[in-house]
Amino acid sequence: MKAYAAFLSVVLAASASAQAPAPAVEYFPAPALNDRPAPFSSAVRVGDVMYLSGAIGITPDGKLPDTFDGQAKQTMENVGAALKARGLGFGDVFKCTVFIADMKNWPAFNAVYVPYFQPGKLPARSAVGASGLALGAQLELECMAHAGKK
Amino acid sequence: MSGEGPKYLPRMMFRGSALPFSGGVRIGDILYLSGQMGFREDGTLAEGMEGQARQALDNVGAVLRSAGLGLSDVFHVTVMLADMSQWADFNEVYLEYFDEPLPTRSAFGVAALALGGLVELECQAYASQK
Repeated sequence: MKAYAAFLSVVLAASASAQAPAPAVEYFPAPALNDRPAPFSSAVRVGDVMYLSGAIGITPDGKLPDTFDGQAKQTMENVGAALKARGLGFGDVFKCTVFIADMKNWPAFNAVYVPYFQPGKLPARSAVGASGLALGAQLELECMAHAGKK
Repeated sequence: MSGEGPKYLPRMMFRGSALPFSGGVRIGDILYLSGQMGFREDGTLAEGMEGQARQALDNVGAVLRSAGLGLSDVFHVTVMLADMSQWADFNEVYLEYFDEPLPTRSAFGVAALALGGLVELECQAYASQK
């Protein structure tokens, strides 16, 4: 009986969520940046696509790692956290744009970037050399993820 | 939505000549806008970062209005600045134009922008076909 009640509540929850379709556009605000409101949301979902704001390698205590490798790893971790907060992961990312302050770091970034994805499932990607990035970062990464049915 | 082809906004004009792009193209529920810069209607660039930022955002607004939309429909923005040291100045103007919830965004400094501009903004807007 208890098992049946639990089953029923699952069925009811599922039908309730089916009756309330997700809004077409859903915003996810960003936390403050250096004690000031960030000039962007952290993510926005439009239909089946989750757009993430460009991420830099800022640590939870608001600092940028000294080395390019450190910033690259932290940037990937920040993208991963933004995805995870929306129930997504790197496997859902289908397109990225890489902004690098010094293009000579392109191979170093690739070495950090590739292992975050499954072999054969790398996102489409473009990379550009930037003349400068926010807060003096060496790297910024913008990703789009599929947020529809798996 | 499905089966419907792209809808093109008119070609952008500059100093009496047609630019090599449309103001925007709508695919399904999304309007992709061309990059907008701080040029006034007379073809001159507005003064400084603050002026060009305002003019660029006004120009984005004008293209959106021509498609029956507004800045509140913009959900993603790419910001290109000729000098990244003006990032904070740009943000001040930008935040006057957008209310919460803000679009997602990436910003980066570039080697140069067309015609010597200081800022270019590329926007994507949600264009629900109600």
